[in-house]
Amino acid sequence: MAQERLVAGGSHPAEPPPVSQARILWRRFRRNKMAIIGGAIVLFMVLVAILAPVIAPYDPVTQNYPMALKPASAAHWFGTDDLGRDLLSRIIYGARNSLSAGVVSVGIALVLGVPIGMISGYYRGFWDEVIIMRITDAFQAIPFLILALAMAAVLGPGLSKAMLAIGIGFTPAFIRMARAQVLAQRDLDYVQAAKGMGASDARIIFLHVLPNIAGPIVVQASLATASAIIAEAGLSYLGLGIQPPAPAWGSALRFAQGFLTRAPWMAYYPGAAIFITVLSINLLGDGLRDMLDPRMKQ
Amino acid sequence: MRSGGGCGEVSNRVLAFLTRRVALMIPILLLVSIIAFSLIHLIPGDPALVILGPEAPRETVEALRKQLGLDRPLVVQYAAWLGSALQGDLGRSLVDRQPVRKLIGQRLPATLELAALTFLLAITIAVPIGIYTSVRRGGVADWIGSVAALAGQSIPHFWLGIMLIMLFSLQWKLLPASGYVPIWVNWKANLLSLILPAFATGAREAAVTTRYLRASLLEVLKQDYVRTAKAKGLAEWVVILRHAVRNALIPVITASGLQIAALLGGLVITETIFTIPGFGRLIVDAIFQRDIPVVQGAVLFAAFMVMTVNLVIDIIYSAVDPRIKLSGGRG
Repeated sequence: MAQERLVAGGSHPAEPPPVSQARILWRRFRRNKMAIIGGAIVLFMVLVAILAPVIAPYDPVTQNYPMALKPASAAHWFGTDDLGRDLLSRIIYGARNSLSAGVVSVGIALVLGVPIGMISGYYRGFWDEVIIMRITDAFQAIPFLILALAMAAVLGPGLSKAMLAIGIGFTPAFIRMARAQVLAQRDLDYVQAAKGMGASDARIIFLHVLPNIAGPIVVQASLATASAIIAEAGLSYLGLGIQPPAPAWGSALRFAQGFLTRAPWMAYYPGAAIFITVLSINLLGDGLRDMLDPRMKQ
Repeated sequence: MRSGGGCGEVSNRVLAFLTRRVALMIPILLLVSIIAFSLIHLIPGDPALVILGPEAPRETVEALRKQLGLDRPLVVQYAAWLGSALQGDLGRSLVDRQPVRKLIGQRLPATLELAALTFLLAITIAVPIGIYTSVRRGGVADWIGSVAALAGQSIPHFWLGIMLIMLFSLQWKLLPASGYVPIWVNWKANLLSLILPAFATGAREAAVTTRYLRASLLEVLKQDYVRTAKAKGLAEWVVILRHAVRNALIPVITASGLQIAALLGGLVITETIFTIPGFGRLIVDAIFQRDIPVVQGAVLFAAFMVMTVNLVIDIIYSAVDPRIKLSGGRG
């Protein structure tokens, strides 16, 4: 072995060590400073959500009427709301609900949409073109938020129901995306080779094709997470998402609207939290897209 | 003679195209009708009991079951509902017994006006910024424009709406914070009442359109014919406005079509923030009152609107790009 290595090394003395695909992608990603900033903020928000019980200065639901509608101070950095609750603590705990709403909704859309889209694109034919695609068209013809609202109306308010409604609303986009990607792959040599070697369709779809289309799906999932956070906040703003007294960024804005002249800070911070989170996810998503498909970089 | 024949041929092609597109809309609308109809059956338990509440007298629950047709087989219920919907009868509101069609008709003008103003505002902001940032690619203006576009895409429009109310209505007292004045009552008050809502919703649309236009223009500016036009000595703005922008607009129009559904959804919340009695507000009110016939009718009508607007956009698309014959639309 040592002899072999010596010979190999001696025959190509100037050849650089092979660079892994992951390293190439990381180098590409690292060049995008905005994506790095976005990723750092997303990571910070995730840590805030996880460590909420440790870092929140107050209990987010305990009411303290003598402290109601107090502006920012050393004791309450973001001020207090109309029930005397600490706004910073409610925003920290709200991160848990908002981020989980984004991740779970997109998770539902991924789990439902990607397999349906992949199978549909792989087999094509009547089921694909007449049934699946037309149902997708029908769902996409209904404005997403109106569909989510209608579902929330029949299912009733609540975080889990809002997540389900948003997840189902996003599913058609993932079906279309996965299908389009599979259509581009299904006639490539590696798929034909796997077929020739007798691999089952399920094996080809999920073990061979899926890793090759994972990049665009990851990008779409990251950008959809940003939209899902806004959608959940929108449903909560309308009173159909997370129910009080649980802290949520969207419902905080609804209650803030009644105190715009007396306590404008009640509206500043929850909205800023949504904005910064969504912006950083979008920056990260753009960076992932540029990393996985540099031709898209414009 | 020849020109007359040509016009006739074109109008025949347009007619054939429209017929084909409308025919394609029918099965999708049928599926939308199934989705809208199914909503009531997604309610866990007895829908009539859930709508009226557990305290409702048994006779009232039975009467509602009968009114909603829940006592009949599912297929019969759907056939009856669809038959009525095809004749324009979307049922009656459970709350005030008004026909759903009438309620939608009453609320639609405000929403259509707001949507048009939002779209106009978005285009007015997006086109100059999109052109300028692509022409000055890599410069400070491009960086600022691109960051602003990404920020516009990320800002929750309901928060932007609240911030605009705080600034322009409560602090500077320049514009009304809420309410709507119909255009036929007072056009000036009507316009003033819609500026903030249109801006709140339009910021995102403007941001998305700016990004599409910039990306599309950057692609077009690399093309040979643009270089040739420049080499012939044409002024830069002539090359951009006359040659590049027209071609760059094609994908932007496609994107605008896709945004219509998002815009309509966005207006639901905007109308709630600014208390505009529009179509979106009708849906929100119906949802809180569990007025299922109104929700079903609104879902069906919203899909119909989106599909009609997309049909119109397909036609515009064919007009902007003469290479596209009126044969298959956007596919």
